Amino acid sequence: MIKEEIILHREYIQKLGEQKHFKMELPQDVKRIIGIETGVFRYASSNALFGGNPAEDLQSDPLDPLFKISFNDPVGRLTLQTQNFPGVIYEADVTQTEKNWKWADFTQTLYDGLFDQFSHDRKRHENTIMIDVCKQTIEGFYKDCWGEHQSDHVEYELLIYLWIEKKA
Amino acid sequence: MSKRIKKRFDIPVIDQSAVNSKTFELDKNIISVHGILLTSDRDDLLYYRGSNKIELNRQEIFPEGYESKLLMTGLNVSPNDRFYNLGGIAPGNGKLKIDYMDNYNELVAFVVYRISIYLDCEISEEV
Repeated sequence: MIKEEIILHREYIQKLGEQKHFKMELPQDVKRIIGIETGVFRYASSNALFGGNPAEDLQSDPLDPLFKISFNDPVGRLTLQTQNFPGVIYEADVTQTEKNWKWADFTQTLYDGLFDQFSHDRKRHENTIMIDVCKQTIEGFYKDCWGEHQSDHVEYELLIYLWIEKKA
Repeated sequence: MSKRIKKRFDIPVIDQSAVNSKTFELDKNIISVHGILLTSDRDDLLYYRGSNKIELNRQEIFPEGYESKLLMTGLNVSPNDRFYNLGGIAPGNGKLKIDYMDNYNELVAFVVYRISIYLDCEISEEV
């Protein structure tokens, strides 16, 4: 018998800087929450892939670009809390692109453009948390940053994956 | 005596923005499934366009809409670390059902592609 399960919650974001309060319902047999992952699915009308702000002027930067660490600009900010646990249980930036996947990889300069995140990304893991659940509801708050960076409305779907452990 | 093997199952994706469902039957000598991995002959399409639902023995492992890229690993990851750990699930009736959804994305135009599902299985060598 499988004791773990993933609950997927979707929120539709469409306005610049949109702030959203929402609730996530958990199944009756949930024992605890053990992990959280997030993702973003863009809609057709959205602008180009959000890689953050334009790159800095590399000419004047003394650092070798291969060893430069870039900040992954967030698509939005997510906060979660449960009714039986005081305070916030999870707070994180939701990001779409990992700008440092080429870090210190000299082969990338030879094959620039041929590879991307889909071929050379790191292994993904859920963020581990351990929260016992008494009530079947989780409250969430999300604030969009993507639209603010683009100075325009961006339509996308925020995906929140809750890893839960079920009662035996 | 048991040993670990890798099984591969393919799903051709012929229609865009559509669900491709396929049910596979695992070998009878498989006693547990330890890991899963998704790849494709077009990794970029799987990464940007794919979502999936995966069931084993009629029990849902990943829900509908789970992004396929969360089950992919890049070439930079050591081969020994690539599989997503499922913790040794008993195969039950041995039926593995995959619902793969291709989603529109203007970053990557649709072409016919193939996705491959790899399972890290433990088999019993006793007859």
